[in-house]
Amino acid sequence: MSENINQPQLETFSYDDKTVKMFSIATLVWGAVAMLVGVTAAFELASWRVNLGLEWITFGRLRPLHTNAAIFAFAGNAIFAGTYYSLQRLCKARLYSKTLSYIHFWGWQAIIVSAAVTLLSGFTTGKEYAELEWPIDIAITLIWVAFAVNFFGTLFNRREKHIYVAIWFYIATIVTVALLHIVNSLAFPVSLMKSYSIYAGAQDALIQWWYGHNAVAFFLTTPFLGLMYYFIPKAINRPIYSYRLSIVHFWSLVFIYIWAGPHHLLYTALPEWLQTLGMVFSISLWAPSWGGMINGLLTLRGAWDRVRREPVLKFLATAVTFYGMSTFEGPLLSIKSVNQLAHYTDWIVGHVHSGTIGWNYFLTAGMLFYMVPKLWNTKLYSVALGNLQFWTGTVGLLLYIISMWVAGVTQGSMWQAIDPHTGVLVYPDFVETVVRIVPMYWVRAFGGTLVLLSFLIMIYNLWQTIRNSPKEQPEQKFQALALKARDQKAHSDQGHRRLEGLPAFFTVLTVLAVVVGTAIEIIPSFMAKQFVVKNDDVKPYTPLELAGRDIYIREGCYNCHSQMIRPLVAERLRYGAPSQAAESIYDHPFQWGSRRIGPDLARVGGKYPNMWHYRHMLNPRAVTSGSIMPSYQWLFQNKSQLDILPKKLNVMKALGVPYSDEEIENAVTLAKEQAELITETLAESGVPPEMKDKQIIPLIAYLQRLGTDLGPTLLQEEEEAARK
Amino acid sequence: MKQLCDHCELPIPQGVIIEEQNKSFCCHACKTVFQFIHHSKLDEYYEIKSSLNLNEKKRAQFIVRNKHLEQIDSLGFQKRFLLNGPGKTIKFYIDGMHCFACVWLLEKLQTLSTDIMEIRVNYFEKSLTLSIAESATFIETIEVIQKLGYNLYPVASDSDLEKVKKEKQHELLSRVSVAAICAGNIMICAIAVYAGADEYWKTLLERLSGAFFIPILFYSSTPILKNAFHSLKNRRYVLDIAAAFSIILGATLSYYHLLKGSGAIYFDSLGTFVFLLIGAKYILLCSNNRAAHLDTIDYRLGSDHYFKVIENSEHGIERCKISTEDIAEGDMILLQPGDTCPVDGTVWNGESYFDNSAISGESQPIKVKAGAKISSGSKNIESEILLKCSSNAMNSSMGILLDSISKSWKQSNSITGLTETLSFFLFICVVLACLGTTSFLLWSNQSEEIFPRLLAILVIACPCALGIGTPLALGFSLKSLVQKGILVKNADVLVAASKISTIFFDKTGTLTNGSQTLTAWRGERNDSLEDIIFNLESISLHPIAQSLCMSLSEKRNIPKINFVDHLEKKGKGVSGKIGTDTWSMEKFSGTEDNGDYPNATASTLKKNGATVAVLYFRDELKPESINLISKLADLQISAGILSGDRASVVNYWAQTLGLSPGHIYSNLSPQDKSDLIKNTKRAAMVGDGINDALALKESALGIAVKGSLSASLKSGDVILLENNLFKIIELIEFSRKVLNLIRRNVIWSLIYNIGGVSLAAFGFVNPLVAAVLMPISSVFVVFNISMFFYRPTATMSALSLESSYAK
Amino acid sequence: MSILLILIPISVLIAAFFVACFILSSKNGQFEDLETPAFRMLSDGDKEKNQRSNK
Repeated sequence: MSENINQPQLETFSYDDKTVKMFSIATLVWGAVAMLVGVTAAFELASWRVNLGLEWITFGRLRPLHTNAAIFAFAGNAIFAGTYYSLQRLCKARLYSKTLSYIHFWGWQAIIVSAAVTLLSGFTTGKEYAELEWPIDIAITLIWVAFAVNFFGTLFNRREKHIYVAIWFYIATIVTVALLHIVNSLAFPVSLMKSYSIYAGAQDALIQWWYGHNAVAFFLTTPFLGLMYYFIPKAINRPIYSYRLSIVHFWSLVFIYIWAGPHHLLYTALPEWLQTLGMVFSISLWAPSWGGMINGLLTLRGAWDRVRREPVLKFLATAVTFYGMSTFEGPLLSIKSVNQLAHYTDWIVGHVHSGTIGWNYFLTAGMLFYMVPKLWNTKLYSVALGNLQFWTGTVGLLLYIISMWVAGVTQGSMWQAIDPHTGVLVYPDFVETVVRIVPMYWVRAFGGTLVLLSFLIMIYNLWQTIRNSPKEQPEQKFQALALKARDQKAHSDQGHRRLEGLPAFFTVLTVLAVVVGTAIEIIPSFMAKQFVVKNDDVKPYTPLELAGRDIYIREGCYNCHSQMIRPLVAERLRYGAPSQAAESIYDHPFQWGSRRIGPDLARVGGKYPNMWHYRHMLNPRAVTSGSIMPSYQWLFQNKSQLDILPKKLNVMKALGVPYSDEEIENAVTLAKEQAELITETLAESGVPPEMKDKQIIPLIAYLQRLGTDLGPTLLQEEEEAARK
Repeated sequence: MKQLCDHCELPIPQGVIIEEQNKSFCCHACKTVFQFIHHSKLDEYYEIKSSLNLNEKKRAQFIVRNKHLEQIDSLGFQKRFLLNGPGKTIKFYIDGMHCFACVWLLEKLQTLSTDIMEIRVNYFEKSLTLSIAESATFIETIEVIQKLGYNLYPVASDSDLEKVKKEKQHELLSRVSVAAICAGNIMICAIAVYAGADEYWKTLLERLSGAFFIPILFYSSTPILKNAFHSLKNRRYVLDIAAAFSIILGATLSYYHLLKGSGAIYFDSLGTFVFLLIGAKYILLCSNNRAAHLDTIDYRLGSDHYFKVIENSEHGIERCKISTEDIAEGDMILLQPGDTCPVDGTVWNGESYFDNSAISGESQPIKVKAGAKISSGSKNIESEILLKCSSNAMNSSMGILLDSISKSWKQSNSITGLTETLSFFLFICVVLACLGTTSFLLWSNQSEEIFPRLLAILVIACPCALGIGTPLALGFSLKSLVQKGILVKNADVLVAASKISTIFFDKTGTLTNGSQTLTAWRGERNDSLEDIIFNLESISLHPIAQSLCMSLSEKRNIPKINFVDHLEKKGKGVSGKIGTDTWSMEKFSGTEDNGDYPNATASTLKKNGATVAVLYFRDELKPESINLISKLADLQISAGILSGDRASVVNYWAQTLGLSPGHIYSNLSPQDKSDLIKNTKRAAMVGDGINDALALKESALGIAVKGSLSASLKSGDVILLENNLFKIIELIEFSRKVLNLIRRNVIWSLIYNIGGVSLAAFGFVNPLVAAVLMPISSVFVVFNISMFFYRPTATMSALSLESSYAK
Repeated sequence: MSILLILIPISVLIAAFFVACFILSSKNGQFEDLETPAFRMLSDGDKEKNQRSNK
């Protein structure tokens, strides 16, 4: 028609759903893997035999794989699928670049595979949720950039003026995660697969938990909130209850989350006020989180019959409910007095899973049930299966949460139980507290299995859905007015800036919000000298101890053993003088840990003879009956590589650990000498001398060193103080 | 259980049920709309509508399309309305839009034709922006939209007013955001300090918060400071003065302590306070601005162009196009049927019927012959006439009326009237307290105590409930009123509404439908007769003929019949031949009051001169009118009628409605109406026509009903966005509730302030405590208010539903 | 006190940027209508117009 000539053309476009499809499938695959690994780990805790004596599937190595797979493989792919799907439709624009989408997809899958391989073979940085070694970290950064470019490219080409709130949540995610990842992973490589974090001790702890918390905040929360704000209205075909509220929700979250990190470090060697600040922020997080939850739930008001009928809504509604639950539990747990009981126990584990399973898995399920039929333009294979999955999953999850809560409270109170008359611990033997909760571990493992089962049901259900979809899928074409066409004139008269500037702007803002948070948290830690009392009695590890420490990290001991004695009477009685920031200033990375499946090791040094450790590592039950710790036979077969030590010491020196040059030169010989000494003490109990170059020796050396620098003096001081 | 209409989902009254493709409808409007939606493949509309499970449902009104949009594609029109945008863009204020499903429907219309480039709805300000191809025309799209039951009022493109308001709003918003962010950061620092950050960190954090307070002081709080300063200059006391004082004093003291390195600092609580205060101001401004775009509605009526006739010696009579503005006294212009007379004048030749309802409220068209005076604003119905202009558009009766409307200035009986007196009283107390304390401390030479104590007094004296609560309450209420379909132009109206004791209604078009409808049929009646009548009348432009055709065609589809010499005799009626029979539809020539059908017009169907049937037409009451009156009585509000119509008619309806004769007035000119209103205390006026516009302006509370002429939309304080008079009841009840809320807040704040001030004066409260108390009290007030507004909404709308359809 | 030189500029900067953001985005009308977008997102965009509808 002729009139089209003199009018701004309506642009015809279609959506790139191929990428979305690929990510959706990846989500299913990796979800299954992550949960399978999780269940295996759960059974290993219930019975130490489950690892079949294989080093690469011991709990210490499986657990990092589980967390990484769940967060970055499962949740990651889900986020990408959902984001790409909703972004295109919210922007009325096709994905920016086909190539980038491909790079993004295959790159990410490659990363996941390499992560699985390296983690199982013991290559780890020893920082929770950031265990991947530096080459993979770099790969992650690159792929993330590809994602960002693809995302913002699409956003700039959008044909809808308004930036829907979901997009803001995505932007926050992209920017923040990049920043968190880079800042936290800064490390100094020793070899291709070994590096030391540039931060040490308290500073590392701050960075790590600022990251650790925000990994949850910005990888498992903001993107999924964005998805919630998109998929709930879509699924129920009704606008979000209050759009205004959702915007307030966004900004307050972005602003507050950043500061909440320190609540993971309550009762640690961090300055008091910083802990309190963290606590206050965690508590104030409650408001925006619930704002979001209420907004989501009220959107479903008056449609509960549909929630009962349709799996999509069922999952979404439940997800939001669990979000509300865990965002209530979180602040609760960050209240100091609660934290005192719950910290280092399974309560935290339960809390985390109510979030990851209840919120992330269920929301993903709802999202997939909505997306997949639309993408393959067909109907869901079976609603019945959907309901079956829902109930299996929910029951499993509840079993999980309840068992973990019981286990946590039980163990926590047993640790702190002190006989009022005698003033001694009621359960001095740590293993008692473990044996008590093993039944709960069985329940948990069972619950986990149910969850895995439900996930497999979903996979079958969706696979059938896809299989029964029509063979040829015509691409739906859409039409909209180009944003420029609409604005040019408008701008000319009202002098508006170009709208395209806006997303960039929000990015900058989010960056800055994060930067300030970072500043508040990190700068103090860089100014460590301001509050970390430097103590000259604290000396760097000897070469052999350092080698031992790397074995400790490799085997993921930190997954079960903390190295941070809290200033509580019970802990004082059980482990000795409270840890001081000064004691870990040479720990690259810090090993304070977050869970005590086994006892704290901060002052284990000298507590037992070498032979005890020897026999314990060979077969824990030989020295502590009822121990659930796996045996580490391979430490007695594999030789310890000492030749790399000089390199390691060099790196450490570069990071500010005061090693003298001759120390570095003779590192190997020094190590060998110390190994000799230890082996001699063991020889008395009939250990053959050729054991001296096995990995067990450095480990013993390290364990015997822990907490010995200050421990005794601190005790004396305390006794003197007591006398006065 | 009553059957529900498939379009509007309202119970279908017995008898009127209309079946169509196994759907049933309550009225033909619904049917038409449904059919349109169905044929345009937009049925999803109904799914969405049901998924929204609205508790307020609307009956689709059949809108007789506004004449003034007919010319929308004319150059003159576009000169006034065309905006910058893709292709040709015009913005309309749209009414009849009651739920999100409407947004969906309206925006989906752009898929119907490639001429439409974009339709964007702004649900928030109830406006619609329509962009079409340069070469296309607006009228088709507009007709579709009106067919769907929405009414459009073009927004003049040169509306600087709106732009200015918007900018002001943006500016305030940015001030708010500054306050929010800075206050937030200050809080962080404050918490860290309270958490016991040691010396080194303490000083650092305090300085930081000091830095953050600078933008709050010099940017965010400027409106408060300015306002305080001006009102001090004009010897007026406003709330902001107290606020300004404490901000300034607090800031000075805090910075002084900061530099001194000792002593308390109050940045945190001051910051929060400023944030809350500015935030409240913003909310109020927003809700006031929401109605702003109404003022930009263009209220000039009728078509733009007329034909001027020039006598000219060479080639006789000659016609030329002339636009309203250019018509001069003494000109001769032709008025086509459907034209609205732009000026006053006398009929030169030709005869026709004129509809004066817009000006006088006269319900029946009047016949005019050569020599008859015609006043501007009346509408030519029947046939072309030649008019000799006795005025130009400006000084025509209508021109003067519109002028006076835009001029006459309503002094606001401001809500702050109440609060101002109170806060002035408070102010005196504070001043006295300050002086007292100072002098006492000087006398007992503890001068170092003075500063902190004064600050404590001032901080605690900040009338939060007044300063924050009142605007907030008003802001919220305006918002929720719009959601109820009541558009209130400014907050003060609420006060007026709560005090109303008398309500005057305009008759035609307000209490009644404002159009002649078939009420009775005497004599023979059958389909074939109806067919004949329909086809006869179909050529006539006379409103009665038109409404008759509409009502006949509603029942069934009427076959076409061709008449031989089918013509309309001026003032007589229409006639035509089928075969040998001559059929005619003539004006009834019987006694003035038509027997047992008072104040109805009648016309007779004749076959070969013999009367076959007599049809009676009259302007019927709106369905809800009667219940309305009784409901008003319950609220101790007396109702009355102000009409320009004949006494007989007015009184008849007054009796039907059971109104006490005390308040019934007829034969009123617009001026009379407004005088009457002016002299009645606390009286509200409800009207729609131009003749009501002045009264609406002068009354304590002017309410313009849906579908009013824009002149009255402009002059009314309140506009009912739905054609349902029960909204008036809702408005009054709601406003009373809100006023009570405000009073409660005020009392609370007085107790708090006076108590606090006296305590502070005697040094029982130190500045820090005061600083903590202040935000707490403000938050309490805010909470109190939001509780009020978020709780009852559900019940409110439920109430509105059953009340509006209780029958 | 060197930390002061890092902390304050950053904090002030971000505050400034937040404000700038609000001004810019509200100028762009991002916050003007906070009701319609919530609904507009419900439609995945308008299907290609079928040519028969033009005359």
